[in-house]
Amino acid sequence: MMLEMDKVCAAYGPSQVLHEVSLKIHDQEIVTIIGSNGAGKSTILKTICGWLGTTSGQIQFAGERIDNNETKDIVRKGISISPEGRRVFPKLTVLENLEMGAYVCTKREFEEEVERVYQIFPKLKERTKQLASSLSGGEQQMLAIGRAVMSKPKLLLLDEPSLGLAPVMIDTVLEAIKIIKESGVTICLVEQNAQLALEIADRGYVLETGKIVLEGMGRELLRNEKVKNAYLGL
Amino acid sequence: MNIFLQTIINGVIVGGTYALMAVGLTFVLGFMDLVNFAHGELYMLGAYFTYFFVVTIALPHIIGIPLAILVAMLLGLLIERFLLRPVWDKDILIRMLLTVGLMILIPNVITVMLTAVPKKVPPPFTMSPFILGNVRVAPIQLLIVLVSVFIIVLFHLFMQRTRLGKAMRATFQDKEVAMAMGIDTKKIYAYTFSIGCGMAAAGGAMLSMIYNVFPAMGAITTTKAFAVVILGGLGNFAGAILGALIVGVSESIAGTYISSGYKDAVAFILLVLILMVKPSGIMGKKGGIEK
Ligand SMILES: Nc1ncnc2c1ncn2[C@@H]1O[C@H](COP(=O)(O)OP(=O)(O)O)[C@@H](O)[C@H]1O
Ligand SMILES: [Mg+2]
Repeated sequence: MMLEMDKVCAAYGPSQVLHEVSLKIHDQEIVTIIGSNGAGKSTILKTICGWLGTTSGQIQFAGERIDNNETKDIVRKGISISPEGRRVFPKLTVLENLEMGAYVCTKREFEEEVERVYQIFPKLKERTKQLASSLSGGEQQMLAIGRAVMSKPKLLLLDEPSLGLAPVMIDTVLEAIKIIKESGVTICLVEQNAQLALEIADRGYVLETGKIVLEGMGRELLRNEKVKNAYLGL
Repeated sequence: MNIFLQTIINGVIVGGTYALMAVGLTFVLGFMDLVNFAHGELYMLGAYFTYFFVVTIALPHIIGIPLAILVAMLLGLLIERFLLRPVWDKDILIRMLLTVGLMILIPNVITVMLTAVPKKVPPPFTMSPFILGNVRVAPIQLLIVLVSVFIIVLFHLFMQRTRLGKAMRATFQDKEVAMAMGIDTKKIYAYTFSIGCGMAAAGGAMLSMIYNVFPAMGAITTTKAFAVVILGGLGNFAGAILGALIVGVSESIAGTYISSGYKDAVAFILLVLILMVKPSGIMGKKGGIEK
């Protein structure tokens, strides 16, 4: 078991957003969490990566409790995130962004890893000396994902990587996600675009107002009537 | 013509040390959103620490001055850890008032401990001025401006080239994401403040060799450094350096051609004039501070 959330509750101040969320992510899986805007998908990722504390419940990573640990320590255990809205460091160059991604690594590991990222995203190599703020939305998304894999994570959290991208760009990003998975990384993919997410996911969870309401294999959920009506617009 | 040239050169030399003060201040302001009214107090302490190491315990300047800067940086770490860290998440006003408190506290502590009688640090050498044509430059002044430039360049390279410098920039561009990279952002805050203190102390340490050292020397320095920083554009390094040179040269011109009594007013008159034309400062961005 890579990650297990057990009845996790979380809140922003007085307003509770997650209600006893339980989910499991096995080694080498792509697991997706789908749900409409405001359901709490990003909040789940925030509790995993330590940006937000939980109010109750447990999160275990590789058999060890990590809920309410400090973010900087959670990365070192092997979890990294490509956040919603990309959030690349705008005034750092592409290469410097990747360097920050490898902050917990040695220089040697950084040099190896950067080559691998440039293989996955050749576009980034062309832009290596450019400021991240000068990149297009799609390129920034590549950079955010590239930066997240620099630390050689065991578990990669992807928050809405397709948001606001042109269809060709979405394909590039999906291809990259598959390559990253092939290299042995477990992936938790959060998406509003349910169709796309369920197509590449092994398993999926459906989140509604902070509660898991449905879970199943990716293919199953694609055929599920409720999912079709609510999330696939069919 | 020669008097004019001499005036300009004097101005550039003074401007060099203003630049060091202003870069430190604008760094802490732009990166940490900390309006540090105690900046000049670290300048004052840098001068006193230099007095302690060079005069009281008679170390050579080349050891005493770096030690003075180091002690100021350590003090900066302590101030950050025990006074600022608890209030980083609070309103910007709280932090600002805290530095105002330090601005009042530190010089008074020094006065109680050492009295307000000015102290002098002798320069490391006595040499007759360099003379180029009719322009004279005192070697000690030249040394001071060169060291200021050296420190600014070193700081720039540190921020641009080193892992820690990049982590600082990353932290102040997006703290949360920086944490997710594994950066210990608490330490980054401490180091940033400490470096700002070190730059202020370096200015004080060097000017202690040509000016008197006294408890109230920090306050006027703080206000002038603010004038320079606002003039150049908040949080803008190039602006701080340019602003420092403009103020240094204008002061020198005013001192020569009007009256040296008006010298200290020049920075503020310039400040008002420039802000009337360009409210964000010479090189400031409209949208506010750039990290
Ligand atoms: N920083 C925050 N402060 C307060 N409320 C928040 C914050 N972030 C998100 N929320 C609220 O929490 C709920 C879940 O948000 P989020 O996890 O971002 O949803 P999703 O990612 O599924 O769109 C929403 O109602 C949102 O308004
Ligand atoms: Mg979201």
